[in-house]
Amino acid sequence: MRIKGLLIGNYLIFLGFLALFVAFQSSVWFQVLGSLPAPQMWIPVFVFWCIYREPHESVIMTYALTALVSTQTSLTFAIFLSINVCIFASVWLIKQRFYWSGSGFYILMSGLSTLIFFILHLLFSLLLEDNPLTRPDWFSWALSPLLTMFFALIFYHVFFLFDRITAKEVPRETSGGGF
Amino acid sequence: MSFFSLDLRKAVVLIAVVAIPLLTVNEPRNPEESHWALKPFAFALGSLQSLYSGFSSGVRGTTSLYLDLIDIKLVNQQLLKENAELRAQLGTLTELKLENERLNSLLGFKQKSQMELLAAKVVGEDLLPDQKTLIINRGSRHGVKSHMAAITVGGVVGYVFRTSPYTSQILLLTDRYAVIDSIVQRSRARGLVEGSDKDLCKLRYLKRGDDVRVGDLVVTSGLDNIFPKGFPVANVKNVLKSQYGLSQEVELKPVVSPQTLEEVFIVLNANQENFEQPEETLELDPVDHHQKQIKEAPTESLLMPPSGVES
Repeated sequence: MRIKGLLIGNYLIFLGFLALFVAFQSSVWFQVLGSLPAPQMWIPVFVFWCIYREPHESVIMTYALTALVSTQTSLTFAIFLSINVCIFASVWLIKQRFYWSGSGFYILMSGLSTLIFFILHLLFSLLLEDNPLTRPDWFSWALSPLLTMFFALIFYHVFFLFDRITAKEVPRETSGGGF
Repeated sequence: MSFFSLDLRKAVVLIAVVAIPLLTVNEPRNPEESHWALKPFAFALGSLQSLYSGFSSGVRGTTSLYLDLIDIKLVNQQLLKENAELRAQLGTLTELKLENERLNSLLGFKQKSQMELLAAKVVGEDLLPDQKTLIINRGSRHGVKSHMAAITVGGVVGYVFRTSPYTSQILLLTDRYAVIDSIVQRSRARGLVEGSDKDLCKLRYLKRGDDVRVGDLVVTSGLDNIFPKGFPVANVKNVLKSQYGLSQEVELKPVVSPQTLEEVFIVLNANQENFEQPEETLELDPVDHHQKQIKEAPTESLLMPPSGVES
């Protein structure tokens, strides 16, 4: 019973943290820094769950995260969910091939996932939408992943603290081929 | 030696010592001119005095300069500090002044319009960089519903597409998902304004033969009663006609720059408001109170130049 409570607590902490920083990104960043591209603060949360959780837990988080974050954007839920599932698959596949312990892999994957998100958004828009995205914001595409990586560095330690508090065990790490 | 044997040399000296003062006393006095015998002495001493005077004035000057410099430095630091404080105050006051002008303009617009308007403050933007939405601090508890128009003093901003109890999201007209029914004010050609990218939108579904020129103003058609009729949307920036085809593509630049928006109005009820020119005014109906009002130069009276509006 206690273990279940801690597990639910772990899920809720992460969702609460996600809500906090999604609101920060859409509101505070905009009001303080104006049109400067914002880091995608929801992606480090997503990537953490893709790397340091069992696959079924990652899928649960993918759906929950998409439901929460889609309330802050006009992107349709279906396309957003499709993109996020693709990102989860990409992160999982990369983790199977190239993985090393420590924060480096996590930070790199956060930045890469941000870029993958933008690319997939463009592709899905061209394929599925009547009025597709034809002129992406290239400056945001360049700056946003870098800022996301910076925040991922900070979030990495915070997320492991959450796991320690809720006694959540990280799955046995798989070591890939490396470089 | 006897009393009468005198030393001649001593006698001469004695006589000279006694006689010279007595002689000078009897000489005519001329205070303006010193005695010739004293002139060398006066010259030497005068030169020495000039030298001393120059030296002492130099010392005094250097000392006072040093002391003044210390004072000047202190005063300068104080003045710099005061200057910085005054600049900060000036910045704050300038910001307040601009905000006051902007709010006065909005208030004036709201008071003169017959639409039911709800003022809202922009508090956020879309999470993704390629989607163009704004978040405002008014929601369903304030009467906001989906598909209500969002405007500002100078023109159309977009429309509400999602509400929550305390906030709402506005789809900007530059967003790819936004569609607004519009007409070209000059030629009355009708089409749909769709968002294109960050700064531009397009007027689509115009017939090939429709008269559209660069610089034309595109206004709302008012047919949906979401937007008031004749409200500025965008200016024509480019007209693209392919060699073959039934339609033409028109590139538009919105009259309102969304990046500079701080407040917007939500149109709770358009009340058949019409911003067209006086010749477009409806036939007088003595029963209908609104139609009786003939607005003289409605565009100039209601559309005051705010900040962030591009002509």
